[in-house]
Amino acid sequence: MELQDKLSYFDQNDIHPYAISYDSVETLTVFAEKHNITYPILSDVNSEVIRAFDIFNHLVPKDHRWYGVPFPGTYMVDAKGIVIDKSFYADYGVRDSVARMLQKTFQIDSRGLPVQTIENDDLKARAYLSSGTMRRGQVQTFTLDIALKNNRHIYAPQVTGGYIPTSLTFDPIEEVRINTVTYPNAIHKKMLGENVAVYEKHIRLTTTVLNRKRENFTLSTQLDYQACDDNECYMPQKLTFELPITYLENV
Amino acid sequence: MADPLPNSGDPENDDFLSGPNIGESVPTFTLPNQWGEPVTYEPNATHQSMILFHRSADW
Repeated sequence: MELQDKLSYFDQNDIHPYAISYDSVETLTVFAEKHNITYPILSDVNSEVIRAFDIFNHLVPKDHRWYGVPFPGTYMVDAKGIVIDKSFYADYGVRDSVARMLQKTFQIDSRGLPVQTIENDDLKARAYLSSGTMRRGQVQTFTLDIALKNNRHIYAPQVTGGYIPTSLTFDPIEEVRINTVTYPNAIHKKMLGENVAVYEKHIRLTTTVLNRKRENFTLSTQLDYQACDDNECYMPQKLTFELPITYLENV
Repeated sequence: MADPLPNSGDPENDDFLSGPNIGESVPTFTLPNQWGEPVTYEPNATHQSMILFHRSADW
């Protein structure tokens, strides 16, 4: 179980996990013993809490043995009981990894992430995933942090007029869905009498990766850009990042 | 894993519920854990929480 593997991060940061299903205590006892689950997995046999959260899956017919299940998902809740983030997918076969939720909501990075750093005269770029392991149906976050160097800037995707836009592209992988890349807001720099959309200093590009594979794979991505400073432009660059991902079976 | 849930997983067609939204509060609850002991969730100003709803531990 991924949460069990990540339990030390919960303990260190004083985040309490509560996992709820409609199973009986007996079912949960067997499950916990089989998988050495030490965090609380809770039995909501009559779906009362599931209903109180208003996530009862009303699409399951009453005579079906799965009647009572919730629409699966996760809430991240602050100390006052207010939802600060949530993770629900209409497709019940898809879920955010616990590693992704820890990183996205609580800014907690797991150890041993697949990471690759490339540095040149223009920038230092660090590509990493929220976890180096993926189960089928899990969503992870891909992040590329870029620190521009030597007072150089690069161009935002929307630039026109002959500037080379920054672009992050992924090699397609069968059974892996890579979402559209989220680029940060550009700043507008006055150059030769016109406003040009650029990035300076530190920027972060992100996307999500949904795995449906049952084997290891490598996420390969290319960053295309051209860096300039106030006096001159430098050779356009293509940087390739490769992040290995280990497949884990669902339990 | 048996037959699929009668929930197509299609966001266009499903009447899909996700409960409290960001900024809203969650209900308090008390449920038995895997050892049969009651566990209570209520906001107590000391810790953050992650509340996960699973379909089942059994399939």
